[in-house]
Amino acid sequence: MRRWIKFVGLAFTSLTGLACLIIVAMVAIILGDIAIHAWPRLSWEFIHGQPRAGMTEGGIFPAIFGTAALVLLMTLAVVPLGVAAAIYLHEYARQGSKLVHLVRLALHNLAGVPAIVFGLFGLGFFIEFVGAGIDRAFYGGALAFGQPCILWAALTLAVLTLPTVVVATEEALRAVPISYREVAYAAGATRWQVVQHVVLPQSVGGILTGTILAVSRGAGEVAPIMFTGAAYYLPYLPKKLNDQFMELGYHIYVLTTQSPDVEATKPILYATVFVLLVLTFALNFVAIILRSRIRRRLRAA
Amino acid sequence: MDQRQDELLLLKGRPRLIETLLETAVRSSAVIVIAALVLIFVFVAKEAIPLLTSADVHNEVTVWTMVRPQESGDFSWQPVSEKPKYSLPPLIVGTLKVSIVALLIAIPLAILAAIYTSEFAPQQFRELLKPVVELLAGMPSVVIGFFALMVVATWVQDAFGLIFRLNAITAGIGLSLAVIPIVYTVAEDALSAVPQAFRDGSTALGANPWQTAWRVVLPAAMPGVFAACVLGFGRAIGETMIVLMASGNAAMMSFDPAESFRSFSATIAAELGEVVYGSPHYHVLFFLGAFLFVVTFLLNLAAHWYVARLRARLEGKLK
Amino acid sequence: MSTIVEVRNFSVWYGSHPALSDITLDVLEHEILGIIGPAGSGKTTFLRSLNRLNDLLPDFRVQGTIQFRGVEINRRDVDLAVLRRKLGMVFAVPVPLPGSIFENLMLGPRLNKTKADAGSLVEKTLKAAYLWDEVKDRLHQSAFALSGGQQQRLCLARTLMMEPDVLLLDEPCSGLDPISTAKIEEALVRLKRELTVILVTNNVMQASRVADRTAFFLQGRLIEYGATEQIFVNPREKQTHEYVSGRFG
Repeated sequence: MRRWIKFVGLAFTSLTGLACLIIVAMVAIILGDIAIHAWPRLSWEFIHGQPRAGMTEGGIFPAIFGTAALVLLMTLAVVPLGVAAAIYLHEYARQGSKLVHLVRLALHNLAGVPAIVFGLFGLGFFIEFVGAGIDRAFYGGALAFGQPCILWAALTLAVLTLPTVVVATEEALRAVPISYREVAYAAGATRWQVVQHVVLPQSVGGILTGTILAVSRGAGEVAPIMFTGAAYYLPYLPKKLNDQFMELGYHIYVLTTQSPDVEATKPILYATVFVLLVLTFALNFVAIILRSRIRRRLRAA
Repeated sequence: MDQRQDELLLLKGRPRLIETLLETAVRSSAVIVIAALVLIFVFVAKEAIPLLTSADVHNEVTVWTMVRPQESGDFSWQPVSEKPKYSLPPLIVGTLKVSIVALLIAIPLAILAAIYTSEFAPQQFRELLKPVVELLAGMPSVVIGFFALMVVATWVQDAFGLIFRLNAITAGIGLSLAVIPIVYTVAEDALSAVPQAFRDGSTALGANPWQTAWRVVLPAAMPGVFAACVLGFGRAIGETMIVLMASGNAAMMSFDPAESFRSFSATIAAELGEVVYGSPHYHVLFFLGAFLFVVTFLLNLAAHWYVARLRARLEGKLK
Repeated sequence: MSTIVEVRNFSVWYGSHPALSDITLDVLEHEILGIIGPAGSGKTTFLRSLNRLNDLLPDFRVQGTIQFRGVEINRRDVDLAVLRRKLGMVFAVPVPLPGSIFENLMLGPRLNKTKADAGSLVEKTLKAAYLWDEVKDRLHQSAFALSGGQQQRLCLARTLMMEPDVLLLDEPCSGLDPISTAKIEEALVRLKRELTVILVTNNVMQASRVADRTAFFLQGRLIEYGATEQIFVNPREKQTHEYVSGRFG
């Protein structure tokens, strides 16, 4: 009987271990397949150059530029807002107050909203409401901001990544020992001075982590930007806030599903996927390392 | 220092202006977070309401016509045709089809892996698996969709000898890759939250690690594990890019996972680009979006509630 | 000697739990007032009430009055930043802030925007804390590189940088080696020429060494206070006698 229990136990343990291996294998297979197919096509010209011959040759620089510009705008919007909200939750609010409870509930739910619904929101709110309103008020009804463009796409992504930034910032704020704050208060600091002189300087690592994670997410999401500003082929780079833009993820999507000659565009496609993957992985990797350093400090505190 | 000087120094009359401004600023940020969620619902629902209220739209479609069988007796989604047909059942069946396939793969894998990580694994392995899962979570869904369409579709077609290359099985496999990280993370948190005292008590009674895990830890963490599944389900039905790329985008009403299908989110993504602003089709798409929002919102609330129950149970038992 | 802090019928509640009940005492200028009593007797709560640091806690209620130089400190229009500079606090565990020794000392001046004049105070406060000789050549090194006793003396100097009228010390020598303890005690005795010291200590012997007058707290109540010698040699209350002779604590 005992041998039977032992056997079942071993089988169970191995099964769970196998599950882990399968997951690791899945990730490895995807990475490997993409790397192998992408390798021959990668070159400096690929990163640097413009697409040619119907996306079968050349580079994807406009998509890289567009992604970078998009993500930069998004960061400018989401980081101040997210950090401020986290500061309110952790430094100012009375714990257990109704507002705190509502904010946390809202954050939780924001994180679960499907990406395409963000796209609808971008369309229905930013473009049709705010953009059209701006056009009526400042452009006499002419079409300037009431259309898909990089500004609205960036703001849509900012709302999507807001929970990421808030959560990461709060974690960093929590890692600052209470004794530091007490010392500052006892020295005559006002609440904001405590935040400015003691808490924020110590939280930079966590805020950076949240920012990097948000950037990684923003660079990868396609559904929210499909109808709020991304375009497949543009002969120009986005220079104004109401320009459209090319973007890596969107490029991959269109190339995969609507390419007129799948075999011909395959090499560029794989290489583009590789670039996007490397980008998001690198960002995630850095964020993970930063975060484990913060967690270690939190445990020691 | 005479008394009056002290009084003047100590009493300031009213709080400093800058402090009040800053406090207002951070509080407003918190309010904006709530407002964002509310605005999302409001502005998506706003464009969906004409489906319920406008007579013009009702000429073409109503909620009722979307649910009942059409004249020919079947359910057909063809908004772009001479006589536009809108029908929800194919989309519902399609969404559920692929979600179930994805969950059948993801839930066992993720939960078993979570059990291994929190109960059996040596420390180094734990440090290895968690980053791998986080990397998987960070993989853009468009990349997973690409992989599903390019590679998985061929495997599945060859392995099962299927007619359709893009179907619920292919898309389901891809979708499971997006669901695994969520289920794994929440389940692993729940299992780790079970106090060590539970395990020690079980071991003291003579149980070996797997008995402890299976009979003590897992049942104790069950609300959290269940919440993980609920969140995974919410992620599955809301996911867009993977399904958009790997489903074959044929709005056929069929329970067969080997056939192409359409999901709610993929339908919105596929058709929103060419829809005419203000047309009935436009409003129907927003209606689909509002529907998705409400369903995932409710699922999130449910998961939230389950996690709260887990916490209460674990703390209650300790006391 | 005149009264600098006047406490009348002062009580404190955390939620419904009474932490201090009906405390009445005077603190005289330029004295060292020792506050002794077992753990949980409310000593720290009392100290933190003097600079209103308890305001940071939720569910905190007070009753009664505390007057600092004749001004009621629990009034809503009191400038807490000014109050906390005038009554500076040193905590039980040394808390050096991240940064150099110099930056730590500059905390008060930085917050109160008096950085420009503060440079000259650095040497003065470090000397008053008996730390100058040990750190004068490494003011720009990290404060974390100091030993526990040095860090606590740094915290003392940091508080002195704000030129307070009253020093509030909450068991400052717990966990410190005897030499650091002796240095701090010596610093306090020297400092009382310029300011007033209120010293909470769980070490009865320390109070007997250093305090001019001593107050004995027990379970939130002030049992007795008076000249140190009287408290130790001839206390009025039985509980006082039992505590100082070590029967409980």
